[in-house]
Amino acid sequence: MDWQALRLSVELALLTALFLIPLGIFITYWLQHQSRLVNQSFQVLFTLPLVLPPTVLGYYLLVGLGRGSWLGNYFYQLTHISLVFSFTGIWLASLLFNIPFAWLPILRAFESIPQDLKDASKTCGLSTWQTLLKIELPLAWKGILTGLIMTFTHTLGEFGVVLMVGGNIPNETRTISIAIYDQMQTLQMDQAGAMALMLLLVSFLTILLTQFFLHRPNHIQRQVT
Amino acid sequence: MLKAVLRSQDPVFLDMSFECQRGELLALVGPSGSGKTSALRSLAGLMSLQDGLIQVGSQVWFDATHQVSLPAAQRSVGMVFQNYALFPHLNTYENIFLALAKHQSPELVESLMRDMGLLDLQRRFPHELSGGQRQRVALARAFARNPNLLLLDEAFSAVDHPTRKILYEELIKLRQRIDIPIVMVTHDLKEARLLCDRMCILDHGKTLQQASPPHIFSSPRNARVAELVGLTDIYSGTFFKSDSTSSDAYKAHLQWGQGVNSMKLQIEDKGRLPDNTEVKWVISGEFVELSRDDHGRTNCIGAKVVQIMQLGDISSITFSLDLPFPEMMHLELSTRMVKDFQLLKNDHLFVGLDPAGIHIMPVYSDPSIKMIQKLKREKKIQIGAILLAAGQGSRLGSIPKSLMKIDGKTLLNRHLEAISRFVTTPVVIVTGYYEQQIRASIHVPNVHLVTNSDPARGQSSSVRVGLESLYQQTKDLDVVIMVLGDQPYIDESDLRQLIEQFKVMPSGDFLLPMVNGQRGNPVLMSGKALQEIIDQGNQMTVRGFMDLHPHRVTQWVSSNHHFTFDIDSVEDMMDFQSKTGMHIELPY
Repeated sequence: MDWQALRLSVELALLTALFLIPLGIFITYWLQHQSRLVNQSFQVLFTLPLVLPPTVLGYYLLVGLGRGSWLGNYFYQLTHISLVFSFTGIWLASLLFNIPFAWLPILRAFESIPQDLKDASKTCGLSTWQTLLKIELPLAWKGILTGLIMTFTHTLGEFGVVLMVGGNIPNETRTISIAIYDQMQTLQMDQAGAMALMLLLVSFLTILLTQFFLHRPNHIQRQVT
Repeated sequence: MLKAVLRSQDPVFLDMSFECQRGELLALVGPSGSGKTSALRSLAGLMSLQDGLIQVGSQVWFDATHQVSLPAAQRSVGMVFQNYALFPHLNTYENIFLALAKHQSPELVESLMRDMGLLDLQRRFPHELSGGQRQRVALARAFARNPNLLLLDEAFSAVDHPTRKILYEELIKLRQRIDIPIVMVTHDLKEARLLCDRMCILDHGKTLQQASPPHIFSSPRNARVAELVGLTDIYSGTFFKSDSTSSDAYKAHLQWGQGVNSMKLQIEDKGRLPDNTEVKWVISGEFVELSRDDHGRTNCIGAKVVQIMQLGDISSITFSLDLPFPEMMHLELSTRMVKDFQLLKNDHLFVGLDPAGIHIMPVYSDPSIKMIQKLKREKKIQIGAILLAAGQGSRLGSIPKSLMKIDGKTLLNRHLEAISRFVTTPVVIVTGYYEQQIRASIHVPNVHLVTNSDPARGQSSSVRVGLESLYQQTKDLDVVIMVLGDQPYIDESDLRQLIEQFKVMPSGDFLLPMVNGQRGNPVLMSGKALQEIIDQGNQMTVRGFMDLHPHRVTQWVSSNHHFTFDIDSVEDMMDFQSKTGMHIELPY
């Protein structure tokens, strides 16, 4: 059992999810106030990772973030951290790759808030910011939670992009799914099996927990005053 | 006080203005799509306007000319939404608390809850409250900001009937304590009538009428308003001013129905409509008097009870009226009164229509079209006429049909009297077989007699003779009316209708009345067509010319059977006598 790889995977998944949720809310909110054209163009752009093969995204990230690139070089000069074959690199890749998993559930949740509640909030004297904090976020919490869990579990099992951008460096970019692949290559089936079971269990438990929270009755929703 | 002028093209068309005083409740009423909810939303600042002004007291919330537009949160407005719009994640207390302004004390929430009877429910969430309770929370929330304007958007439509009654009472009580303008949107007329001080009737984004409910229900401004406020008995008629010499106490009358088949009603002339205007009219129930006998009162009509429907305290009675045309009237009476009056189905009684209560309205149409038509109608034109009295009624024993007497007066003189109201040149009478008799019987001045030397050639030859004579008299006529001498119903009002149609018809040189797909008479012809027919020599007939130039003939589809009825046989005579109750006396 490669505990290091599991820890790295969980760290990556948590960091990705926690960073993407506020970003998802921001994107949703920002898009609501854009013109139809801008809105639809960005919707397409943000949904793209859902259908793109991980290798394609991985390829572009390698080219765009490598030390040979302007961005990769600049970032290295600034921080002495490489954007490829590093934890930062696979985290950035995970962020881009998981945008639709975090953002789409949030978007749907915001869209399902009835217009008259938003109107009522305005006639109650609440500013746009107050409406977001006191009305929309509490009402959209299920979507936010769903986005969080989806991003977490998806990152946990991510393989293609991580391998393309990060390779297989122990304690740096070797996540649990890469470790499983590695053990399989060297025919250590028991090791691979144990880790696969572990990943299965973690994913199963996470989704179970989500279901439990999502289906709690309405009246004990988090209260905001 | 609220002053609102709302104009918008997109996303909804609005072009309305209304006012609401402090402490007054104004109801915006209209069908769906009339813009009533959009009006309310734009008052609250939830919808943007392209033009207009919204002023509450001394505060200007929106002013297009000075580019002022306060956001919703800064307008001091309390709004109650159709489906409450309570925040589902907040309890009663929190829902009300949320609306407090920064400087307001939380104690206000307590006092509002006490006033609304919500203290016991303060920890409950919206889904744990009944419809009525939710509504009270919504009202309390609307008052939390001490608003300067209260808006109610279909606020009572989502609750059951008993709860609604309680809420009405609460609103009435509440109004005694608050002194701000209240604007309510509703599609429920009864609700509006019960609660509001004034109603504003909206249709297609426009204000049609703004007045107190009793005034709107008894005096709707036009037929569309009457229809929108649910008046079922909207009748058609023609408004006539009485002659200045007339002894009519009411100075005007209303012709209900068409021509001979009509009923003359005395009405008051409020001086708003020109003479001879096509109108719709209504009468409010309180101006209808029921009696068992006719005491020779004004506007008294026999009526038969065809239906009595008891709806609790109120009974709805349907009468069939004794008129030459089928017409119904509906009245709502107290069930008690129906019993006292011993009113039963099939009873015959009399309804008296108080002239003071008869409200006439011009027929509603697009204002621009209305104006153009008015200009066309008011245009003075030169009118000439020929009256065809050459033929003989072979099936009635070869008699001059125009000399038959209806209630003692010849048809010829009846026609001449009607025609001479309009013509600007002497009426040309075309005679044939009975020239002497006809000449002797004429009592109307200013006529010109010509004779068709060979009437056996048919009607078209007589028309030709008449037209040539008319053309010799004057060459600048705008229109020529060709009246057949055997159409007993044709009277002044029919001719007036035809002339009016001729004036407003968009194109063409002939106006041909069509009734049930049948060509009617009289036909009207332009002066230009007259000249062309004369110029084309004496073989050209009017009928032939019309067949050659069908695109110049405008057919006017009418339901007025006067245009197609003529007396050709004994059956026609009997039919006319039985329908009108008039007596026909044949010459000789």
